[in-house]
This record gives sequence, C-alpha cells and structure tokens, in this order.
Amino acid sequence: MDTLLAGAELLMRWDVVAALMIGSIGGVIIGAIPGVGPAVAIAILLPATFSLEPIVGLIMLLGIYGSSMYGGALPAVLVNTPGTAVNALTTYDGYPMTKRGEARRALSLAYSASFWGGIFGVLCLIFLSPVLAVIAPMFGSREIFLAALLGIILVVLAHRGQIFAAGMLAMFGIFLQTIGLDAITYTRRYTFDMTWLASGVDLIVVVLGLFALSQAFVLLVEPDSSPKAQPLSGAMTSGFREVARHKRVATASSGIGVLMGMIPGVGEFTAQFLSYTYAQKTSKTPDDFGNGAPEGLIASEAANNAVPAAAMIPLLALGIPGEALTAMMLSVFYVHNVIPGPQLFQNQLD
Amino acid sequence: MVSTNLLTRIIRIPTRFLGVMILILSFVGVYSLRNSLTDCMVAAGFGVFGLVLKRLNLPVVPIVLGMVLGGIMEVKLRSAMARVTTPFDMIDRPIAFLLFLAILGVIALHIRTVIREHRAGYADEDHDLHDSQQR
Repeated sequence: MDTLLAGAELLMRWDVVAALMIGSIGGVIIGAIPGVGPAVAIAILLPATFSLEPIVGLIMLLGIYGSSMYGGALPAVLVNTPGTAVNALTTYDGYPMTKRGEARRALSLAYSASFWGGIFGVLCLIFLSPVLAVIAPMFGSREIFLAALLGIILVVLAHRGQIFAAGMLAMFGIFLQTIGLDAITYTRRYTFDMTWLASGVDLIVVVLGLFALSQAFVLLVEPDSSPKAQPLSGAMTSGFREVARHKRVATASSGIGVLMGMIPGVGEFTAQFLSYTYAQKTSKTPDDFGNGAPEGLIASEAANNAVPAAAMIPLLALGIPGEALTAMMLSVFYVHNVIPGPQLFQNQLD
Repeated sequence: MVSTNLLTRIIRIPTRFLGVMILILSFVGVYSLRNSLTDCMVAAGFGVFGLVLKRLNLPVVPIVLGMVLGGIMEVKLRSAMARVTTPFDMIDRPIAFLLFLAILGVIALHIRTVIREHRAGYADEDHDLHDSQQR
C-alpha cells in the first residue's frame, strides 16, 4: 500500500506528468500513422530517454507503448488499414461498421474497449506485484537461466511455419551479443583485433537498425499510398455503455490479453486472435463477426490493450523481456543502472 | 475523441516524408549514443538486413530477443555453473524443476501439434504435390 501511495506521489511531479502526456498523446498519433508502430517510435526515442531521469524516460516509453494500440484502431476502423500490426483484427469488424455509416459508433466502441482492457491490465499488474515480490527472491541464477531459455524457446515456437528461420535468427542474436568483451573474464571474442568490435554491438544500435531504419527503407522504396479516409458519420453514442453491455466479452478478452502478455514471446497478436475466436465461439450471433459485430471490435481492442501492462510483469519480476518492446525498455533500465529482476523488488520498490 | 478529425488527417501523411523523418531521427539517435560513426554504419547495415528480412517475410523479433536473453543466459549460466557439479544439480530446486518441466512440456506440445497437423494435412499435401508435378 505504501508503495502504491509512493507511486501516486510520483504522479504529482510535473516532469512525470509531462512525460506521460507527451508519451500517450504521441503514442496515439504514432499508432494512427500506418507503417509506424510503437516499436519504431520507441527505438527512435531510446537514445533521447537516456539523458532524462530513468522514471521520466520510462513513463514516456510506457505511455507510447500503451496508447499506440489505442491510436492504431483509428485507421483500422476508418480506412481498413491497421495502424499497428496488432490492430489487424479490428479491421474485420471496424471497417464494415464504417461502411454502414457507423464510424463514430465504431470508434467510441474501440476507445472504450481499449480503456477497459488497459485498466484491467494495469490492475492486474498492481495486484500481482506483491505476489511477485514474494516469488521473485526464489529465483536464483539457474532459475533465471531456465526462464530465459524458456522465453527463447517460446519466442521461436511462436513463429509458426518459420520455426527454423526464427531459431536461426535467435541464434544469430545470441551470437551478436557475444561479440566484444565478455562480461565475466573480459576476454575478447570475435573481435578479429579490430578496435571497433571490442566494445561489442550495442543492442540499441541493432534495434534502431532493425526496426526504425528498415521500416524507413520500406517506406522509401514503396510507392506513395495515402489511404483515403471516409468522412465521419453516424451517431456519437457512448461506447462505454455498449462495452458495459458486453461486459463478459470485454473482461474475458482482457484476461486473455493479460495471460498472453505475461507469457514471453506470445504477444498482442496471439492475444487478439485468441480473444476474437473466443468471442466468436461464445457469441449468440457468430455470423455477425466480420460484418461489423460490436463484440468482435471489443474483443480485439480490449485484448491488445491489456497486453502492455501484463508484459511488464516478467520484465520487472525476473528481468526477462517477452517481446521486442519490453526488451527495449530493459535497455533503459540498464543504462540507468536499475537492474530489473529479483533484486528490484527487494531493494527499491518504486 | 475530440481530436479524431485531426487524427484522420495524420493518417494521410505521405509515406516518403515519414521515411525521411525516421531516417534522420534514427541516425541522430544512434550517433548521440556513443558519438561514434561506426555505430551509424552498423545500424545502417542492420537496417538493410531488416529490409531483406521484411521482404522475405521473416521476423526480426527473435534477433533482438536472442541478444537480450542470450546475454542474460550467458551470465546466469556461468554463475550457476560455479555451484553445480552434476547436470541434475541444475534442476534440484522447486522453481528450477518447474521451469524445466515447462520447457519440456512446451516442446512436447509443439511436437504433438506438428505431428497432428502433418497427419491432417497429409492428404492435402499429397494432392498439392501431384498438382505441381502435373504442371
């Protein structure tokens, strides 16, 4: 309880509030631009956050992470192009609603479902933290090794049909990490006596290259395609009421999102897919799905917004990131000498 | 919701402009990290590599996670090895054992689904093979 209050106190500081505002508004905008996802945005902003205080930088990144899914629903509903990859299923039901002239209803539904999912995820994180603080000290070096191994296996297995390629790429990543001085005995590995290799390949450099620069190249080589937005129309009824009517779908989807967020390597897409199938199977009108069913929209949006908070759980408790975005955040922790993992809960509970 | 109209305009930013923006911002970011031009070259190299992977429809996430988790695994494994004499000592604590079981379980589950899919898809695959041979 004390720590919760300390967190609330933190929210009173003007720089934290400013970072949160910038992060979440920026996240919505970035999420709304098709082709630029949260991964690109966070990769670009990583170097900038190093000069900030750790808490301010992290809150900004978290704001972007959380709200970009929210922004991604906008183009998904309006122009049938998901703003971020994880809004793909939102297009199934969002766009038909727009075509029926209910764009405003679809948007307010998406926003409310996002809100529901996000709050659910954060509540789970808050209530699970004390439990984690108990479990985390039981993790010694061998447990963390095994957990990390499990994480890699899950990530590789999550790429169905490309498991061999994904495995090779993960191996390549492990190899990249070994370049330079090793952390325990300081021997030089794979440096070929070249000075520029001695300091190793920085994770952030790789992340920026793989996410931001490659996306820039894709945007530059592909022809200009600006989707045409349809004018907004339809009644602006409160989506909150409608979400509240589909409580079961919204809560179950958020639950699926939280579970999937905690398991490394599974991520938003699987969460969204699972909850969409769940909503369709348990619905009284499964044929409406794909033709503008509000439940479908709620299921996909609630699920993908519950993931970010839940994905923070393994990162904070064990220092093991489950996906690219939390891996980037881990580097922010490292730069500021805050090492997430079992020690974090024992030493500093903020 | 008030800003929705403004946001619909953002969707229509030309992609070329976006690309150049990302390019500039990323290079500034990479350079400011360690003030090194080599980092910029390395990042550009990875950018091209990422483009190739995207064109081949391959994921980039395993590389990043391999880097992060690989580093954690190495350090933890080496410090654990100092206290371990036989391989079974690795899993002699309850949580370690549970995690080990989870790893085995995940792999077993995966192998099971692969076998099942293989059996189910066998007839189809046979058909496809036939088709391609005829062509």
